[in-house]
Amino acid sequence: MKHLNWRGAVSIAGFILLWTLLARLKAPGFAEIPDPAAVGRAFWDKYLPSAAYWRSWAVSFERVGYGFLASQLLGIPLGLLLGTRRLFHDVVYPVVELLRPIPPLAWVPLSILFWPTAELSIVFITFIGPFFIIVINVHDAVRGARKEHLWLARSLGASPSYIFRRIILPSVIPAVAVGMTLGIAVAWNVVIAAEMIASDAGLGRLTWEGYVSHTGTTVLIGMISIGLAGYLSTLLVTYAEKRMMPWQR
Amino acid sequence: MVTVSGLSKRYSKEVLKDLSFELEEGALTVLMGPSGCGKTTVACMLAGYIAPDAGTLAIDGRPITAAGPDRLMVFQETALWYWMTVLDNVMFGPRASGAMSAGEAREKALGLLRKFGLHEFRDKYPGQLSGGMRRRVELAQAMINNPRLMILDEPFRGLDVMTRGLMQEYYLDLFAESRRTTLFITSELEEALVMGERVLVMDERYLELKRQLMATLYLPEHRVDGGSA
Amino acid sequence: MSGALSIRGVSKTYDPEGASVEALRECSFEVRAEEFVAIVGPSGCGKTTLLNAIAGFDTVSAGEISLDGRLLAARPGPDRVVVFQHGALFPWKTVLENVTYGPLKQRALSRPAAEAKALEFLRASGGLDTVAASYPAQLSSGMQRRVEIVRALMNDPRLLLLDEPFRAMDGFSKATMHQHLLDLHRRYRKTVVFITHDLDEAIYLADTVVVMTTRPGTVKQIIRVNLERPRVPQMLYSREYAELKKSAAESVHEEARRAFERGEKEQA
Repeated sequence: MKHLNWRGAVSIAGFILLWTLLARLKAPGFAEIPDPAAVGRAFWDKYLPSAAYWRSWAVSFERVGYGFLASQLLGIPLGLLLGTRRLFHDVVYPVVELLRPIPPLAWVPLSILFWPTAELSIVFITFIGPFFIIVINVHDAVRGARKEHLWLARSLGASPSYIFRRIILPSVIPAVAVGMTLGIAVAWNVVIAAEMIASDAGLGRLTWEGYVSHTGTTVLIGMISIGLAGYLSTLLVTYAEKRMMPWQR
Repeated sequence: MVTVSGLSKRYSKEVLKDLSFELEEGALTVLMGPSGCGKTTVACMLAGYIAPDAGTLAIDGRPITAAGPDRLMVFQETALWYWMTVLDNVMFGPRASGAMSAGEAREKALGLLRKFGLHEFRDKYPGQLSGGMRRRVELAQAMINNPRLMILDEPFRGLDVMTRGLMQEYYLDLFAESRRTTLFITSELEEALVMGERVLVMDERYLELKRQLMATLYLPEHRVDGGSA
Repeated sequence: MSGALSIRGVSKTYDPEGASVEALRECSFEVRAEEFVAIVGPSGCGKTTLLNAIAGFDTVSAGEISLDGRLLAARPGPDRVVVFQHGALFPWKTVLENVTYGPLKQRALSRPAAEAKALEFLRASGGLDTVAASYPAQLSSGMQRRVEIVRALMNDPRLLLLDEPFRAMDGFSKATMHQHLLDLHRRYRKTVVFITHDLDEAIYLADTVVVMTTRPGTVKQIIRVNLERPRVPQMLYSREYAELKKSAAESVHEEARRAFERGEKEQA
């Protein structure tokens, strides 16, 4: 482990050195890109103490949070219904299959027209991506549940509702976990793009404004912040998954 | 007493045709046959998971139409619920049927786990156990429901030779204690001979094949003994 | 270059994150050149650890392993080849390509020479030369395992290491595999170390059976099998065989029970 950290540190130092060199030498394409020291200085002087910068964090996190949470709260039950109810499946699943291939960003114009506020439309777009992922994952997991698991419960005298609660629900947890991991990544992808197109706040907007105003440091700080934000939410999701699946030490 | 008569089943091809047999009360009967001969289908029908196209199954004269707590099947691949601890797996039966309070079920389950030498593993998950232990958890899970009929479908198949031998002994001891009517399914002659009081062979061709094996393996014994000793 | 293996006082302790596990303790035994040795023990007795150490996949904590008097380096080499329980043939290469891969890669043989040798070896292994152009997935698992053994022999190793190669097979296929392996051993006279759970298999195949205890793995008993060669299935019912089995059965059973009660995980 120590070994690895040491190598990791060297690798990151090398990357920063290379970036500094390219930026200082004004290598082709690097004319407007500031070096790491400038980015660091700008961060320390202008962004760290700036309430507006931290508000961008809060706004983006809030959008991802609401969109993601809503996608799970609606998607998991829908996936369960689709997987367990024959009639419901036959009526609803074709629509799901029809809408699923539409990329979340393609929903942007419709979403703006539909929702009364820009905020709601962005949350909605953030919701769309993880929503279809979790629905399909849960649906497939219910359908793929091992029949022996269900049979055994029946033989031991469990009623259908007991089987649903104690067997079907827990057996889709691994699929929910996979859906969450994929979903959170998609949610960040989508929220950043949506903010660039249709918002006046958030980390995506911050980055975009940096570009519009030709401020290289802002662009880079925006990018790094987004990377960090995505990483932090993945940590949260991974932690939640560990708690959900105590049998996977 | 379990009676099976005239069972037929066809999926894309014919799996069972006019199969009849009886399981004697308190006996350990082995059903032997090659893979793909429909042994598992018979087991699933006895458990009430699959309905035959034709024929009847009955336990003590009552026809078998659905899964019920009087019969329990141990599957080839472990069917333990990997998200429950060993203890929760074992106490599932009485909790699910509401036959016992949580406290009673827990006590009974712990007693069985102690008997099966699994007490210290009660809070582990099935994925953390060895194959032999998982099989014992399944036996405890079955025993807590006190079924009339045990159906074991090639239960020791995936185990290594040593563990398999020990599990065979284990089940025989358990059987000797309770003489619970048991149908033990296997594709191995050796296992059939070790386990069974009565061996039903499912396919005539299979029987011939095994007879040949017996002939080449067992008969020369005397010759070798006489010649080289 | 004959393949005499010497295991002296070999111990191995794993230490993953503080919880130290003693896998092997002071194991010693000698294997003569061209000898067939079987190591029997329950799950978790360190058989595979020992085999990995001999193969050079893993280091030992104490003791030494030497081949023909030279200490073995802790890295794999073409002088020791392992055949695993789960096939390791390249699925995208034909049988012939799989088998000639080693000698061609090491430039030990020209392509025509390697192919000629491969076909000869395949023919010797129960007529496998007829499937030389097939891909592994087209063969039965028994045939795949035989191809793997041939591939191992093609490197002309001093030591052939077999890690429960027949475990997943049914009784019939296993018996056939035994005869093939014995045949190859008689023909090519390699030193063989064979790991198994199965005492019958061990006695039937080997010149010497090493019984190991459950963790920490130590050598519990060494049995010389003086059944004559070639071995034939009838021997399984001879008095000598029965006596050999009896002499080992008790100690093997005792260890198996210990492992069973402790809940040692079987290797998948």
